Amino acid sequence: MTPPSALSLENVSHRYNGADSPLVLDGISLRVDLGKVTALVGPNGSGKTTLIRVASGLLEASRGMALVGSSPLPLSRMSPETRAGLVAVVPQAAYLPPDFTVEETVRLGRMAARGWLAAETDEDRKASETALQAVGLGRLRARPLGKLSGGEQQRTLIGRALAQGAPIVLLDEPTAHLDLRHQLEVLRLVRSLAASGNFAILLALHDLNLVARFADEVFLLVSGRIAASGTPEAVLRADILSAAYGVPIQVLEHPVHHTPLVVPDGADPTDARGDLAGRG
Amino acid sequence: MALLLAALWLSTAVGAVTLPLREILAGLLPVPLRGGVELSPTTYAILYQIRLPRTVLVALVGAALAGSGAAYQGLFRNPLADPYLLGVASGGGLGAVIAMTWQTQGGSDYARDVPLPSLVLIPLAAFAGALLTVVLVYRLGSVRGTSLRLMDSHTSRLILAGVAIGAFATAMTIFVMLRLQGDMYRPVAWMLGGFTIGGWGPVLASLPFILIGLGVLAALGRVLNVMQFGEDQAQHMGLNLTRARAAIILSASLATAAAVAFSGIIGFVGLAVPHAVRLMWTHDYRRLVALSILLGAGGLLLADVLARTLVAPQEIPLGVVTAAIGAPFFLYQLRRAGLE
Repeated sequence: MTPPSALSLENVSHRYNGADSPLVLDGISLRVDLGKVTALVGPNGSGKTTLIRVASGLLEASRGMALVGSSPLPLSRMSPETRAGLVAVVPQAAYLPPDFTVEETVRLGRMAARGWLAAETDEDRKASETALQAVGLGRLRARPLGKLSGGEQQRTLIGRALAQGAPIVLLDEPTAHLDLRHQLEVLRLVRSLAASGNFAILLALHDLNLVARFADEVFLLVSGRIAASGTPEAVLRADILSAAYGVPIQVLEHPVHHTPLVVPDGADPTDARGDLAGRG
Repeated sequence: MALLLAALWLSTAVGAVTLPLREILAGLLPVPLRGGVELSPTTYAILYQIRLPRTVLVALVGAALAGSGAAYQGLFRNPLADPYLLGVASGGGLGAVIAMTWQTQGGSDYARDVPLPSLVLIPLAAFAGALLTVVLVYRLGSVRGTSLRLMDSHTSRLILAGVAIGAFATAMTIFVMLRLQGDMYRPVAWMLGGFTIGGWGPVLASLPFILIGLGVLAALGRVLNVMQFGEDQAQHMGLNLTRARAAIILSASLATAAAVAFSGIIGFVGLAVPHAVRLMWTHDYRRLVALSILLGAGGLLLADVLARTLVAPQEIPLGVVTAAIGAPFFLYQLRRAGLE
């Protein structure tokens, strides 16, 4: 028998308003396992952020549920404190109060474990310190969030999620607005967390080439449904992606990593500069 | 802390009769420890029946307004949130005035020696008025108009609703006061922040409410810190938002109401003091609330000394003094922060 997966979504459907509004998620089932990086890809508006919210337990799906381990209680029905001990979230475009320092922010990750009133214990301090070191921000601990680069801010949020001590970590577009170096930096960090075997990671990501390189498993979401799933090689195929995104896409082989390399085809001459026009 | 002690001393010493520090200190000690300092019965009366009650009440009111101001700012993540802009103070004031009117039925002017049980009714009525206002402001200020959950992203709407309801409550307060027969000076002075009821009664009647309210707020520093990241992140971190908001609103409204009940409308303390603390010391709510409480108490005491002495023997309503001092100080602090 296979062990229960860390996080599973069982036949999740969701609509935001009344019964006649369209389904944002339509019959989604997926599992996220410890030691793995699972990526959620798909066009804008395909339901990735809604799915992350359901997976975090903050949003109760109209039908179906998010479950953790072998617990029969859906995440959305647990107390906020219990939930925070199981699932940590690094949200998209998160608001950061500029005066709070890196260390203060990471330590707030311990709030659920400690409760509202009890003083910080040695265990809290140790967990925060470990998290701070894991994201490589020990030297920037006293810097206010407003004075960090985008990559450092993202690492701070990941540090706070780690301090929370939850085995499941959800990240919504963690590389948005980051330059190439910081994109790699954040995803290497995510990769190393998964490699430790202690975390199950689900992340929504737009950049398919980063998915090809850093994910173990991919779910392609189109209009609220899973259009394809499996390894990056199985999902990132020209026919599948062209249909999903509605533009011609070619998939080559990455010259260094030999992973799939996704390139928009450029068949439309207005896409390209003159010397490349008509190539397709 | 030093400021608070100095302010406490000044407030006790200064007045129509100036009391020397050694007499004040001696007066506070039990007789065997007074070291030979003799107090005349007059001094004793001034100290215990006029200066000390007034000093303690002013300190409590300053602490309550500044502490709840800090909490409201943290709760709504809005530097403009304070007991007055949210309408809580005016709603509380209306409750208090209704209670006072009801008690003075029968033609007598509001007496100086109101029995304690009747006095306690005033902050309770103010609390009812304050809570009613908060709930109304919440309902009008939130889009779905149902729960506390949506407030976060609609702060400006909330403040507008607060200002509107506050204006309405103030209008109703004035209407109720106009219906009062007799001397208008006292209610009007009360409205502008005058301490019109002397003695220990108001202190005893408001002390428990202010202590409970501020105690809870001071303990919720970590919760307020988490809330600074917005409602989504706060929930991700495991905060029970509904419960946290209810706790903060109840405590802040309780402290505000008890302050308003005996001090009337004193502006700028709830807005300016937490700002000053933030600019001078810390953004961390675990210390921000406590420091606001101390600075609020000390600051309002100094303002009250000015109110009593500037045009003595007449008293300036305290609300006039706080606005006159608070506004320029606030502008200066804003400017300094902008230049950094």
